[in-house]
Amino acid sequence: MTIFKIILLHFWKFKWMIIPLALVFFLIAAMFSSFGGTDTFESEKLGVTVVDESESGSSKALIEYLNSSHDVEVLGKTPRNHLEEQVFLMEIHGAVIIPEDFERHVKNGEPAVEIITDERAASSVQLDSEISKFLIFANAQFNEGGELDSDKLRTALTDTVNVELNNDTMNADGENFENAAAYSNFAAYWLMLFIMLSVGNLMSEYNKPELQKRIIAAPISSTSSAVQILGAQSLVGFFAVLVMFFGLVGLYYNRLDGIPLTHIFVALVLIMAFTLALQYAINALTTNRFIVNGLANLITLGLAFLSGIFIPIELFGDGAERIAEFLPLYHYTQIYASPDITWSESALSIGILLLYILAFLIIGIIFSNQRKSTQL
Amino acid sequence: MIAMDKVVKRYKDVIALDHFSFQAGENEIIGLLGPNGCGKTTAINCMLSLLKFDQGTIELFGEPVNPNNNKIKRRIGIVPQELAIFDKLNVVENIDFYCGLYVTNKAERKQFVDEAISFVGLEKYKKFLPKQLSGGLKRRLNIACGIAHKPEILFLDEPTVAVDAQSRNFILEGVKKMKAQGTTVIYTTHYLEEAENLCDSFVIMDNGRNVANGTLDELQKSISTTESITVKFISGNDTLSSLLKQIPHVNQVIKTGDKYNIQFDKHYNNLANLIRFIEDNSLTYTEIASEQPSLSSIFLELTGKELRD
Repeated sequence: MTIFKIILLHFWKFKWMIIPLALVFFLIAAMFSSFGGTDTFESEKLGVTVVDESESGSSKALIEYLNSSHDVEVLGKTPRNHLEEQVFLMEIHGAVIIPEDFERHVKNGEPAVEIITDERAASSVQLDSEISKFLIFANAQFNEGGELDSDKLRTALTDTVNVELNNDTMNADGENFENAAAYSNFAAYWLMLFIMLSVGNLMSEYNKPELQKRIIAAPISSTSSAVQILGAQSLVGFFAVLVMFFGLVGLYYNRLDGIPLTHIFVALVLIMAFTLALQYAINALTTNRFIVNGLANLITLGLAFLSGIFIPIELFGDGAERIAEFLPLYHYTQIYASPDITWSESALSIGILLLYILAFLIIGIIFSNQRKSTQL
Repeated sequence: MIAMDKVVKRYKDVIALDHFSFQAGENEIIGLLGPNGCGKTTAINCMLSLLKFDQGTIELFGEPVNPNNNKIKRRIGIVPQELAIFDKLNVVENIDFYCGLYVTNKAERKQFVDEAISFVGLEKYKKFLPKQLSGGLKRRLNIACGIAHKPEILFLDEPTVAVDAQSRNFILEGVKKMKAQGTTVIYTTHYLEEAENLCDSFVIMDNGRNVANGTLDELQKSISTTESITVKFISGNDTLSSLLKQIPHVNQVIKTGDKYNIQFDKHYNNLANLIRFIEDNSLTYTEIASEQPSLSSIFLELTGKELRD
């Protein structure tokens, strides 16, 4: 057990790197956990310039509607660039150009007005949605004679109904799941970084040819040596998994409904095993610490981004999503992809991760044998 | 204790050991000498089962070596030329780890580690990390890691490289102590004076072959390098040089001032013959000095003076 103990002792020597890394993780996780809650939306009184080229009943109704909640200035034909300049200089929140054939477009349900706003501002969304609302209601209020029924439209636009939101379990569970999934995603990144840095540095020293010469010359079989190394690494990795898992339970102890805890636990164990296998292959290739540390950061960050750990993969488009399907970290996230996921639904991702582990172990064994035969 | 017989080791087309043979008995310090690339490290690696060899036999303690023969491995120690110590472990932890590969009993191991620490004089540095130690202290730690389990055969590969005179002396005294305790030491070095003072016998290697072996006296007798005797005569004259050449086995006489350097073919009681000649001819002298061929001159004669890669 000498090698087993010395590997554990080495991990202990890295404690001043590991403990702050863990603390930073939990600090971030706790912050995100407490920030979770409802989002509120408030309407704002906007400054809007309307260029009415139509001067129809419908356009007047739109102006009246906008005027009811915003400061509206109506202009005649105005150059477009002048309106854009006003928006750019933030003199107004937006400008609406109502074309001559506005009424026909509204009737046909076609794009009927041109809206000029600063799309980066929240006011842009507000103005867009209010005009969309008007156009949808207006389209519905043309009578059989093809005339806009202004009274009905006004009523439709101003009518309100009381909506009672049920704070039901489904919504709460969904929110718990979203938070736990985000935590587990980030935990995988942390686990990978922790294992790759600590195991990588440790093994790059342990595998130095001069040290290996002494160890191989000692009366200990290579199998026993490998078992002890793997055992010690797995023990530390499993301990890190437990810290991450019980960290999740601790942070969300009163909001655990809807969180597939066993799936998350299995996923954490698998990603730990995958990282150990990957690091074994890397250490079989090189004992250079700069390369080991560089690869640790490159691989973990790269995999995390490409697998949607930091940013939802949907934002990168279909191509990125297709690439992600080939990555182990993506399959890690798919093991706990929904609150009520079953084991049969997770089986494919679990299988793929197991294959990845096997593949990297085989690569590691091949490179390790090559290195041993050339270094002496 | 060690018997290598006609061992051949090839690296593709390069022959690292070419029918290399040598034997070592108990309680000896054997200098394994040779120019760079002559096969010393390969020979040691084969003896340690770190390398497979192509032909021949190697026996340690009467048993053939084999990577799985832990019984033999348990009785061997190795101190490689490079520092084979963990940077993150302190002095005690480093020695304890290597000793632990051989000795499983915790109490016994603790005693062995303490003894190794005092043997190399690192008592004051037990909790020091290697980076906090000087070059000489690191060398001593490297040695302690190889001897803590009390091996019966110890391979010391250039242990005094890049250390100061005090540390070198300490290490050499330590090697002598190990011999006194019954250890057989295989010692490789490029410092031939050091080997001459330390080793009981020598194996000189070149191109993977054993070109000569034996004690210093045996090596001196086996080569043609001349013995050189310098005499300062009071009553010298012009004919003295030709007279001196009449002494048996004299090869050459070189006169420098009032000193005569007489070179002999081989080692045949030359000094006694010269003194008899002086007495017979009633010559008087103030100084006489005989120089036997050093290990260095023997080494150069056997391995050649041309530069190696």
